[in-house]
Amino acid sequence: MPQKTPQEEVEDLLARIAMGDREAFSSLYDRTSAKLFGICLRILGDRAEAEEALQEAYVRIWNRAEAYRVNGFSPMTWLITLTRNIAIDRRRKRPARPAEGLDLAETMADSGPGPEAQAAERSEAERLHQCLRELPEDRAAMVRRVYLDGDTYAELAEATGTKLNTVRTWLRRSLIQLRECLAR
Amino acid sequence: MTGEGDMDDLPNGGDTALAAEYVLGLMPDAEARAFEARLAKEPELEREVVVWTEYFAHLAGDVTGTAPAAAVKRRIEAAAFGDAPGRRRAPLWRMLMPYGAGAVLAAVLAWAAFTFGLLGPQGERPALVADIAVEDSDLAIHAGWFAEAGELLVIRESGNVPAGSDLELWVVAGDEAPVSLGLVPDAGQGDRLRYGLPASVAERLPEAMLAVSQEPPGGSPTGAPTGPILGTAPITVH
Repeated sequence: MPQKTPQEEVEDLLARIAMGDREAFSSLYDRTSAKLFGICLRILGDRAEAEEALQEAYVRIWNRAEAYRVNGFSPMTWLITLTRNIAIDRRRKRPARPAEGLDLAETMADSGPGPEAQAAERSEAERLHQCLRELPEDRAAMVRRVYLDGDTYAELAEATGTKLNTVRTWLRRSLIQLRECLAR
Repeated sequence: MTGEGDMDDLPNGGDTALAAEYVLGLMPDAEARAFEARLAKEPELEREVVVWTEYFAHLAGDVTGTAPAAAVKRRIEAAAFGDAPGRRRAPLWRMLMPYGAGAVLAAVLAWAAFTFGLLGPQGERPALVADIAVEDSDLAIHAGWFAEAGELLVIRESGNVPAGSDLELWVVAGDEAPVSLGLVPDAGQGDRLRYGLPASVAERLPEAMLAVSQEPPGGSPTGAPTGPILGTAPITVH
C-alpha cells in the first residue's frame, strides 16, 4: 500500500476527530501543537496568553473538525488559519500597546518552508517567497508583519510614521503585485 | 478622513486586494460584513479568499515551532472533552444517544447496522434498534425490530447470561408498566434469538426504552421485572 502523505495523515486524523475520537485528537495535538503554539507566541508575545489562545484553537478544532471537510482548504491551512485568527482576535482585544518600530532586519529574510512541508506545498511556498522577494523590501516586510504579527493598518502607520491611508494604498498595491506574480 | 481618493485608484485587481485584506483581517468590521455579503453571492471572490488563505498560510512556515508545556495538553483535553453539553455540534448519532458516547459506542452501532443488514429476514433492515451495554460488565445486547416480518431479533454480542439466572428484555413506554419481550439467549441457545411480537406489544416500541433485568431462570414469575435492571437504552429508528 502506498504510504500516506503527511497531508493525508492529518486529514485522516481530522476525520476521526469529527467522530469524537480522542486518540486521534491526541495524535493531532502531538503533531501540530509546536507549530500552532509558535504562531500564537509570535502574535501574542506572551507565553500565558499564547497558551490560552492555543487552548481555544484546539477546543475549536475538537468541536468543529467536521466543518473541515466542507471548507475546501488543505488541512494545515485550516489549522494555521484558525489558530492565527484566534490569536489575532485576542491581540486586538487587549489594551493598545505602543507600536514597535518597523525593524526590517527582524521581519525579513527567511528560512522558507519548514522541513515537514511536502513537495507540492514546498513549491507553492517557494513561489510565494519568490514573489515576496519581487516586492520592495519594506512592502514585503509589511505583508509578513500583517500576517505573522497581526499588525493593523493603524499600527503599520504608526510604525512607519505614515498616514493610514497611505499605508493602506501601499499594501493594497503590493498585494495586487504579489497576486499577479503568483498567478504567473 | 483624508486621502480617500488614493484608495480608489486601483483600476485592476481591486477585488483581489480586498480578498487579501479580508483574509489578513485588515478590514474594519462594517467593511468585512459588506464583503461577506458579496462573498455569499460571488464564487470568484470566494475563490480569491481561498487562494489567499492558502498562500498566506505558507508564511507560517517561517514561524519557529515551540513545544508547549506538557500541562497545556492536559488542560486542553479537559476543556475539549469536558465541554458543556449542547455547545458541541455532535454528529447525528451522538445527539440521538443519551449517554457519553465514544469510539466504542460508534463501533457498536456500526456493528449492529452491519449485523442487522446481514441477518434481517430477506435482507430486510430493522425499522427500530436498541443497544444495551451493561455497565461494569462485558455484556452487550442488541435488539432489532423487523416490522414487516413482525420479528424482534435479540443478539447477545458479548458477555454471558449470569449463571443461575436469566436476563429478560422489557419495553418501557412512557409511564406504562414494562412489558416483557422475551429472554436474552444464553450460551446453550447461541448468541441470537427471534421473537414474534404481538401487535399490541410491537406498537409500544417506537420512542420507548428497552430495558434488561436479571430474573430467576425462565424469566420473571410475575410478568413484571423482579430483579435488578442491568441496563436501558432508547429504541431508535434505524
